[in-house]
Amino acid sequence: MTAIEAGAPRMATEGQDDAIAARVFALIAAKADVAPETVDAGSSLDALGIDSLDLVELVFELEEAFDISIPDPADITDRFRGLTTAGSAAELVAVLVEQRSSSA
Amino acid sequence: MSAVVVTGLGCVTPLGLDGAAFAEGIFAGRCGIGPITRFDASAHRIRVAAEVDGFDAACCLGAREAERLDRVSQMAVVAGREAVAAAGLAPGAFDPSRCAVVFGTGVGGQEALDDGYRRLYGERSPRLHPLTVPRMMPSAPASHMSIDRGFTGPALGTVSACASAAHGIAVGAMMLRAGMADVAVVGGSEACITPGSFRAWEGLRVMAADTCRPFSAGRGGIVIGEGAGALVLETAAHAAARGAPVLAELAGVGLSSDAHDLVQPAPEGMARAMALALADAGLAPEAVDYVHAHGTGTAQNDVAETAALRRVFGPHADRLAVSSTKAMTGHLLGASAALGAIATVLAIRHRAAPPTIGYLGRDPSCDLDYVPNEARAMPIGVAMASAFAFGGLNAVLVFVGVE
Repeated sequence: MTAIEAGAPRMATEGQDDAIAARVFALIAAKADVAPETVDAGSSLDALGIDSLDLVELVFELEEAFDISIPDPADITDRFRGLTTAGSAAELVAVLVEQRSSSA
Repeated sequence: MSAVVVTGLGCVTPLGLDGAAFAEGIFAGRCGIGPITRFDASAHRIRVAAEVDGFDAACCLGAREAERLDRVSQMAVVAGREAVAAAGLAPGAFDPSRCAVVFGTGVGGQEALDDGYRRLYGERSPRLHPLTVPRMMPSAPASHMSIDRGFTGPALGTVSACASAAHGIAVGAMMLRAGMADVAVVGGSEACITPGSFRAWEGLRVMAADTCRPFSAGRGGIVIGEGAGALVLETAAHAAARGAPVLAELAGVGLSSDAHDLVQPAPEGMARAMALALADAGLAPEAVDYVHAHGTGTAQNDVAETAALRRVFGPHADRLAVSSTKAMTGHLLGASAALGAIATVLAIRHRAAPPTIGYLGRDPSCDLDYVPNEARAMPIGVAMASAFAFGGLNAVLVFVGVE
């Protein structure tokens, strides 16, 4: 059973998650064409103007940047609170990065 | 049934980035063919194409929008915007749910497809660009045009190889006649100057290594071009009600298929489409002054098309001015008939037949008046624009001047 399937509590350090979040927020800001400091965990992707095609590209860019494989949207919304905010994107990436590290 | 009229034109072509540049170019006899710059063609057998130079999609559409569209859709949207603006279709002045979009292409987003295959097979990367599908789908030009202009009537792509745009124009006209829409933005777009596309075309042995010389002795085949052409079609009643400028009437449409051979054209099928277009317009062959020929510059097309013109027009064939602007624009494949239709409307408006440039001398099998090398001033009341595609898919349009 993977961490994703269990929605298990995670043991990653705060520092590592912060660094991941910063990179995720920067990618989101670039996609939305806004200043990086305007994006925080509560930023709604929708409100940033990120539409369906932007989201497709963003998922691709996150995969490239973190060497992870993001599950299909159905799995994301079922098992997480959805890829709807910058914070939820950072959380998803952090879980997948940790999963990759622990399975390596 | 209201007549169908043309109220706006727009294009992006190897002769320039708008309709004015195209009009100037075709009557001046300018050639848009040159060495390929869009990819390294040094190892290719064919190293010439008619490219659109200086097209800046990011500037026209914005960087974010441009990134989402393959070049084939970028050019379609820019041409469509010009045609819609020229027709004076300002927001609020019409019902967008009564506006159709019918746009042809031969292959769709070929650059996206080529790029994807290069990554997949060349670089052995499983990661294709995530927008590969929306960029490559052949309906993308029509989709983007409807989104860009907010037109919510029927919208679709038409696919019939080198007649795709003519079928798009024909389908748009039929929708107007059927009362399904008041306005139809129609035409075609093509952008397939890619290594994969050129290697594929090389195999057919129909490409000229130097330039395109329709109907001429010494012609060597087609030169592939890129670009887009758009026309705004409108019911005469709708155009009159809003005081729109009427450029010409699209009086006749003739569609046929050879049911013969995939690459060998049949004069019978071509002639049938021409005769059907004239009958649809209610005009005798003798009424026609000018024919914008399909005129690809291949050995086979030009002979078959000449034979078909003789069959339909009889003795009047010798009084026709016949020309092909493919010598100037190259062959835009699925978009070529849009440029042919625009050139035909411009010929009526400018009272001049554009020339067939690159003409070296008479081929005994091509014995009509092809307006060689220089434009000819002449009154043109009725003109025909032909498109004859691989697979024997024929579409002919008849335009009539309005005064």
